[in-house]
Amino acid sequence: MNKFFHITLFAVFLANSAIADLGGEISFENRYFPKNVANSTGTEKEDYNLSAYGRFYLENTNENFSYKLSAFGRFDALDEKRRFFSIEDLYLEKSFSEVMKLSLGYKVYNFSVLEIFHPTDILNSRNFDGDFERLEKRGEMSLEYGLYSLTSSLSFYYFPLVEKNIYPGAKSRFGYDRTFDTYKVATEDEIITNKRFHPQYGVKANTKISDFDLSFFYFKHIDRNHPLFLFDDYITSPMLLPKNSKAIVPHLYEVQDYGFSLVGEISGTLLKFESVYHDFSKPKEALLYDGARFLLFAPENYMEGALGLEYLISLENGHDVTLFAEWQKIIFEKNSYQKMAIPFQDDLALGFRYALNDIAGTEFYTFILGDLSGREEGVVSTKFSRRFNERIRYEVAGRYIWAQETDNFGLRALKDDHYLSFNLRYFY
Amino acid sequence: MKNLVKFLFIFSYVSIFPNLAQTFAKTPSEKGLEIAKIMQERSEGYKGEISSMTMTLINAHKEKIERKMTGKVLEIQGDGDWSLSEFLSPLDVKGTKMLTWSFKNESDKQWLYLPAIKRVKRISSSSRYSSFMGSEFSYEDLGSQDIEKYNFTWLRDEGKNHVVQRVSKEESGYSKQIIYVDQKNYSVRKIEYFDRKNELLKISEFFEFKDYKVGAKTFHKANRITMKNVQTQKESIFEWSDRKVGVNISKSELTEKALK
Repeated sequence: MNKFFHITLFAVFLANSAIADLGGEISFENRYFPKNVANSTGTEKEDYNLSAYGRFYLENTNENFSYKLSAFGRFDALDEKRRFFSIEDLYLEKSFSEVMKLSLGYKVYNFSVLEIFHPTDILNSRNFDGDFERLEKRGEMSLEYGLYSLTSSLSFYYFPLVEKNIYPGAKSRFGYDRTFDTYKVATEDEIITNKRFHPQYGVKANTKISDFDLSFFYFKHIDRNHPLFLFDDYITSPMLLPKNSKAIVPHLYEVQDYGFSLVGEISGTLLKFESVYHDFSKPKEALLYDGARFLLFAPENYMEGALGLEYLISLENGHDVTLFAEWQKIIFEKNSYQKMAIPFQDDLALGFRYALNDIAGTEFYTFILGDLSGREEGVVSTKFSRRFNERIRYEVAGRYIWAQETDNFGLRALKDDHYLSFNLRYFY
Repeated sequence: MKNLVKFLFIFSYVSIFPNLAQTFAKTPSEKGLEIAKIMQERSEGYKGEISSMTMTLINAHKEKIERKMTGKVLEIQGDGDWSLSEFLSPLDVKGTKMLTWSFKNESDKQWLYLPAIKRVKRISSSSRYSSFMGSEFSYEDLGSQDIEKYNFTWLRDEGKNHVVQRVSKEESGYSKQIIYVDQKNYSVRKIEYFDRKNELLKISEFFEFKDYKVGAKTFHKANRITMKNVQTQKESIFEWSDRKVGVNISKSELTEKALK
């Protein structure tokens, strides 16, 4: 059914490709990790990551009807888990009037209004071996019905499928020493392996009031952004034990998300805020090892929020400096295992973007991120990018991560995941 | 008696008329505002405009790069215009869209759609001083030029032009602008921009004027504007092609819905 849908849409797009706008990029990625810890051996070694990344799109828009296909693929010379092809957009859209629109197909949804933290980006499956501030999402099969006025919109969504996440492989720098080829969908009634069809739905309203852009949403869906790594199956007698101690599977729980975001301007400073309350109702329990014992676990409700400020300074030499500060906080009733799924629990990021505004589009981007709750962990990230010519842009980046704590919370999962990278991007 | 009447008439003419003339003579500010009002009146009523544009950036070493875009502008009666621009090149920014809502009595609102990250970003009004896509044009130069936002002073008449100074009432990247306005059709021919230290920063010149007829009114619009930074020697040239004026555009085409 799914393949039939893909093929049909591909055929429609290709048949229309002569009148459509076509473009994309090919990128050669080269990352060097000075320290890569393999959990199985505990040894440390240097690691390289050589890959080619391609993205293409094809779109056509006229007054009442439009379609779009965009997809990306990556071929990694060293890690087969980073070899994949993924659809971002593959949809048909029809406007029935100035106020009504219907679309069907795969789409990427970005609700977040912040640079670093994205608590309201709740939809879409994604590649977990990517930068956390720039999520690499997979398209979500959806039926969307939108009503629009000049300053407001109301959209209704239905998602029939559960798209798979892409997890780092056993060879990845994360050193999980295992692959996650299966997943489980957990609801109030059942936990099912590799469940593909599951009805999910939601509604989102946007409006502008005075100097503020506001957005509210409600979604009941399968949470793929915070998978919980629990045992596949367990026995209760003679004691609580996993059937297979190596069979740890990402559990994706059904959740009701109540979200809100705001962007406004106060005296030239952009104020941004977004928050989501995750309500898991009564989910089925699964087996967890918390480092000391086995226990049955079910996710708890929690609140995730982020606040941001952004200010742009134009210098007399024509350069621009954009300063930004962002703070993310999550609120649980207790110190839950679930926190492991969220690296940023009480973190502040300070950064700037420096644009030379020259013909090469030269830009520096740097941020430093630290924990405010007293944990010794943080990230320093810097990037330099410049256009080589009309078609080629290069990018040099570096990231340093420190995570001194010995528990499994916060940035521990990214410990020592430092890298230097050089990317060459060709646009066509 | 007849001579007395004649004397009184001549006396009153000589003594009273200069006062009357002084009363009705316009101050430089009034004359500047009057010229600005005529300019605005002549530019009103174009309904909407769609066009393709090319912006050529030239650096101090005379290296060139071209940026292509399409745009549509909707005239809002009694307020600032709404516009939507889409960048076609360079290819790394292709598909970037910028939506601007201008207002007479408040700061403009701007949103940018970045296709690389598939997000709509709100732009702060402080960006109006910054460069438009790396060019010598700033967002302020290309944004709303409503006369309510400026104080005008007529300086002199020079050749076929009125020379008028305008100073922004809002915070601006410039201490003043000197505008050269054609006395015949009240179109802008040249603008000199002075930086915050009151030194000449940029000179903009307008060329390739064409007449566009909308109803009973004719609009005299430049199709080539050059902007030279006299301090850095960089230059940018903005050129229009396929320009259609008087086009009916719906407001709904210039909302956030159109960005994605």
